[in-house]
Amino acid sequence: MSDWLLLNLSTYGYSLLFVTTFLSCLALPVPASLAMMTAGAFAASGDLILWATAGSALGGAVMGDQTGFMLARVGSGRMSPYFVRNRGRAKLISRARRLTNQYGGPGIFLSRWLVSPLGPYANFVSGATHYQWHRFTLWGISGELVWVILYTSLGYVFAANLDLVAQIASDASGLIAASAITVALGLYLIRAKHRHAKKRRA
Amino acid sequence: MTLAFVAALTATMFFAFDILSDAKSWKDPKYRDAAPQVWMTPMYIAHSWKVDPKELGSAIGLTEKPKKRTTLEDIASERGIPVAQVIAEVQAFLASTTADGKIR
Repeated sequence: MSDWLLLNLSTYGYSLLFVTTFLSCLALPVPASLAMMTAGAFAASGDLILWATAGSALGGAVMGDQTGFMLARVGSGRMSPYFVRNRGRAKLISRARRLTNQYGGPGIFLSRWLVSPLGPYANFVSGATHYQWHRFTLWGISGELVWVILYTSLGYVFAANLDLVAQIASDASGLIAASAITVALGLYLIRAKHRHAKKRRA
Repeated sequence: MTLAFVAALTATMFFAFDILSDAKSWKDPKYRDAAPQVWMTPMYIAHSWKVDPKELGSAIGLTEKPKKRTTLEDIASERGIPVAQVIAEVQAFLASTTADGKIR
């Protein structure tokens, strides 16, 4: 997949970059960060134009986010009788809705670039919980802007060391996502332990 | 949940170790310049090795300055030769310019 993408990136340039970031925002396993870095390197060598490179990556990402959000929104509307019928499920959904309304914006922003592996799922949750569209779009575009600028400029600056920089970037992104999940699970476990202790005292 | 926590913690440590080993190879000269590959364009190779694109172009049989977005593979198929031969020509050119002390 990566080899095919690299070989075709200079030929299909901007359109291939658009399609790659689009698909990656729908949780499809395409090497979007590698594509952006390589395109950034091609911009440094003069094969591609920098602003058009960043523009097509941004366009694909924003369209991908919107597609994921809308799919989940329409899908959840169809599923809502199923959720309402059961009290447990209804409670779970209302809790998810409350959480996205409370932390949604910054969560969407950070899941675009800092913990980008979680991005597509944040789109689905936002759409399914009927998070406000204009807020989703504003936070989303700002986050994607950071993501695109980060990776294309990494490729632009480190064009000669692309292999190693791509490796470091992918490890760093994995490290941040894994540690975020570790902290979240750790907090959950601590809270569960407290609740359990409280119950036993009562 | 405890199992998931342990799994996430293991993944975190795995990535941390990987980054440390990446940092070590930063100094390795093998990684300093991009070794020529099929997907690269002459302009990209010239940029990363800081050599003249026109000189590189003539070393791989181009009569004019290399065109934008043309990969080594495109050049090989245009010339009707295997891409490995074009890569060998690029390597020979880079080796000769390094010997002349032209790079950096």
